[in-house]
Amino acid sequence: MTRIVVVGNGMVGQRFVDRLVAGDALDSHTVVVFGDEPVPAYDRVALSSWFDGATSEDLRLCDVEAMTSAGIDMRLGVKVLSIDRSAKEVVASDGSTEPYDVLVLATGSKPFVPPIPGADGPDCFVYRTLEDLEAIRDRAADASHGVVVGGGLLGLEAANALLNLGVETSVVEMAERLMPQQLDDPAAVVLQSWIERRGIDVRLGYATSSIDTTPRGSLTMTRKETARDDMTAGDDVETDFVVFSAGIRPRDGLGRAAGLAIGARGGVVVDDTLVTSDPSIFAIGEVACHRGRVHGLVGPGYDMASTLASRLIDNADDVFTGADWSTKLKLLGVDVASFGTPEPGDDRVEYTDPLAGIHRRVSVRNGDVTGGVLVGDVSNYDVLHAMATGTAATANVPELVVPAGMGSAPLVELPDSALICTCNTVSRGDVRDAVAGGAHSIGDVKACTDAGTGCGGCIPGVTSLVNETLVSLGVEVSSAICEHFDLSRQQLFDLIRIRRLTSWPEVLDALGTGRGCAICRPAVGSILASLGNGYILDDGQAAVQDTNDHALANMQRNGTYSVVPRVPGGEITPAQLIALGRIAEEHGLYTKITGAQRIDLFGAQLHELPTIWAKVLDAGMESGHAYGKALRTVKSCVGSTWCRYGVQDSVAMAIELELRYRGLRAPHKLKSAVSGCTRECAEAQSKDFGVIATETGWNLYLGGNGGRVPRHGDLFATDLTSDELIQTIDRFLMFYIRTADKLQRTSTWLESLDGGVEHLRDVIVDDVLGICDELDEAMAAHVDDYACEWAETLADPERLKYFVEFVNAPDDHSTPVWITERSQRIPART
Amino acid sequence: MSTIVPNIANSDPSSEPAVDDLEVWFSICNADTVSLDRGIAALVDGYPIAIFRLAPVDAGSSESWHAVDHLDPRTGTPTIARGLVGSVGDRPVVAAPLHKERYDLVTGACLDDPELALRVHDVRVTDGVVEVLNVTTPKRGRNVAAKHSVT
Repeated sequence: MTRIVVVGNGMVGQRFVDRLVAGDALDSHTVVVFGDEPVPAYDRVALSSWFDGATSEDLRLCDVEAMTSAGIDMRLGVKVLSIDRSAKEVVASDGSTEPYDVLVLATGSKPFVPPIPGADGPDCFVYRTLEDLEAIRDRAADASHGVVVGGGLLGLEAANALLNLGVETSVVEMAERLMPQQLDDPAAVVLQSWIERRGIDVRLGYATSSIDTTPRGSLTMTRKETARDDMTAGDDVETDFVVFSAGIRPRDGLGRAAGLAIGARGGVVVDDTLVTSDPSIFAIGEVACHRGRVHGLVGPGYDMASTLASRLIDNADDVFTGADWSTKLKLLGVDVASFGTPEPGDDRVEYTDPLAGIHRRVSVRNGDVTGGVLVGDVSNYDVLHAMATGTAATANVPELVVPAGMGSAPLVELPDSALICTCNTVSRGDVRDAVAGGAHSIGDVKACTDAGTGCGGCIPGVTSLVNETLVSLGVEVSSAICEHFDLSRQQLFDLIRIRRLTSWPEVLDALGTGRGCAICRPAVGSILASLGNGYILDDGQAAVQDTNDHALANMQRNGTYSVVPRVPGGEITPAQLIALGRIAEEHGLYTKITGAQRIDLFGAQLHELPTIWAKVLDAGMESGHAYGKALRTVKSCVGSTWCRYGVQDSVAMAIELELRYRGLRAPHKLKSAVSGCTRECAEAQSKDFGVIATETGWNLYLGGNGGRVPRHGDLFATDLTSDELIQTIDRFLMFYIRTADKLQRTSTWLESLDGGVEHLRDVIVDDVLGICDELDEAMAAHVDDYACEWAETLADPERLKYFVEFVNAPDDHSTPVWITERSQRIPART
Repeated sequence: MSTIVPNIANSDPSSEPAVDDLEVWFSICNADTVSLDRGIAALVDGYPIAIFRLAPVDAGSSESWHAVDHLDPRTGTPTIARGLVGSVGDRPVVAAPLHKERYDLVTGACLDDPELALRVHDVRVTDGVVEVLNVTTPKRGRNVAAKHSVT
């Protein structure tokens, strides 16, 4: 009889024993199992479910009675203290010695507690054993807040447990994303949004320097000053207790003391046959260091257990050659899977829907799937995993990446003869031909067709057409915003918001490469402004403002600027009209009534802008934000105030809306109108959000558009009260700002929104994503923080330096060439 | 090398002797008055010049200074200094404000239209002061500039 002694009765140790039993090894082997926990092996992976009500019996993996009757000597609650290799016996804590022919170390791992002062206090816990869980439960009973240190797999499990115990929960993670081992940035962002929706406070880039007890008995976790601090973590955290789940270390002490070879990062070294440096001693599971790695997942541990069992009982030549690190699990209610070993240079097929909380990425190299990440929807995992591990041939990757149940939407085909760029008479066919001829970027297509080189209004349309054509040609299309950011605008917005980045240098450093460009800089500028980062020309933001935003005025074709004061609702007093007339006369400005019921003053030079605006402000008016991708005007008819047909006060409502949303920066400009009756004189249906009065309230239309491709807004809601109307628009705007592509108007955004207007209704009326509170808060913050950018500029002499034409000759100016036409000054014709 | 520094802010450059035949570094302003990654315009020997101060592109590099024509070759407007800077690959560029053509700040070449180019001028920082070498021929000679004159 060969004597096999197994040290450790965890998941892997038990699996090994199960294999011995199943292989009828007990006929020819004597098996002794030591376990230092008083309870037999249990499912540690499902540990959190203990807090959900699962009992220790539910988790149990080992039936002691069955083991014993099979002839196994189970020694639970007995710790092995040492190995005497020359005598081939182990010494146990109950004073016994047990001889062995074969010794199997399956002692597993212990949680890593970082060497932080205070981390060994009575309110600091680890998350590893049932005993740990009992201690955490007892502490949580009279606690209101707990912190989990570690945002990896186990840390999130622990956070889930704390949540279930009814305490407010924070997760602090040193890396800049959750599950840094498994996920990439976009996947981690999606996961984080799920987790935050559950009410967990997530702090990234957070390294703790000490844990101190406050006079009131709570703990303060002091945050370490690291290089990344400014961009991520927020303040020190005060809490009642701390759970460490920051990784594992092999429990290799027995092996060390016995002089076995130990890996550079710990772990008893084994070869592919799982034998240690002593031919009679084997190691499996998390205590083993195989090919330089300690495998912290149960899958590889089970592989080792089965391999070793068949080697020992069948003399099989099975070997363990490495682990598949693939995982698929549900974390805090969200499905997460990662599989294979993708490399940074692989081609990637991605699907991201931040609205639904889905990110799916599959990497492909030389035509084969190499791996991937699935968050929020793990359908097709099995097939993709099989492809990544070489057990299935790669095929139909795009169809597999698209989430379950989602067919590709049929495209409405326009004829090739349809013009897409009216400035340069470029047809859709011309663009398609150019793409087919090798022009694969919008820049290339512009260069060889001239499309988009006139007014530029067709560029979004041309871009879609180029991408569409590339797809039909089988060329992969990137949603990256430009060469400097491998992210879509939505991803960029989420990352900037979640990491609390507040300046261009921070954003570029954290997320981009190179120096940026005229595409990504204004996009980042708009995002920073939407998130409320203060005056847009201060240091961190000035360098990303497009020409118009930077001058707080609109540059015209001769390099001079137009001045557009806000005229809320189109209502203006005679005194203001007179003041504008006088200012225009004094500065020789051309005046025109705009389509948005405002007065545009043209022909101001850069250095004149502060003087002109000071006069405008003196007349009681303010910036109209015509220079920004922001709310322009809320147009109105006179409504019930004057009109015999009017049923509501459309002017008052228009003014209220305009003052509420003024200065709100968005992916594109925003227009609105309010009509006082169904005659619709204000043309509200052609606006991003349009309002038409009814006998009992307001009808709201969303996603209307004038411009190159006119579109009537969709009727979104009827007979709203004023408060309901405002709340619905608040949410619509904030949701658009968060999720639209760069320079995407609400019309195209709504059309591209999966599920369209019904989905929008689900989100902003029925709150299926649970984000309405957040959207409301964001809008409330905008309303509170609004300030007229020209008032802010004039109040600070430092800021006036932007409005000097020549830095070394402040009194010199260039002189545009003017001519006079219909009694007004206009630029000379070219 | 001569170090004459004409103070053109307080004098009419056209009444000076023919300084543009000499190598003259014009003092422009203190370096720290120029914001990172933003341009400023200056008059150098009466000619409008756009000067850019670019942030280090990574931890291993340092700031760089560039000077090019301020007049936009396509429109003739004095606007280049108001463009957004950036990079295309490793090349630092500025995008013209009006039609967004990108110009290489090192060579002056236009990346979007081979018929357009900016002239590149020498710029340096000495004791914290930005200096630009006087701008030589063609003196204000560009046809596209005819719509603007500099007083």
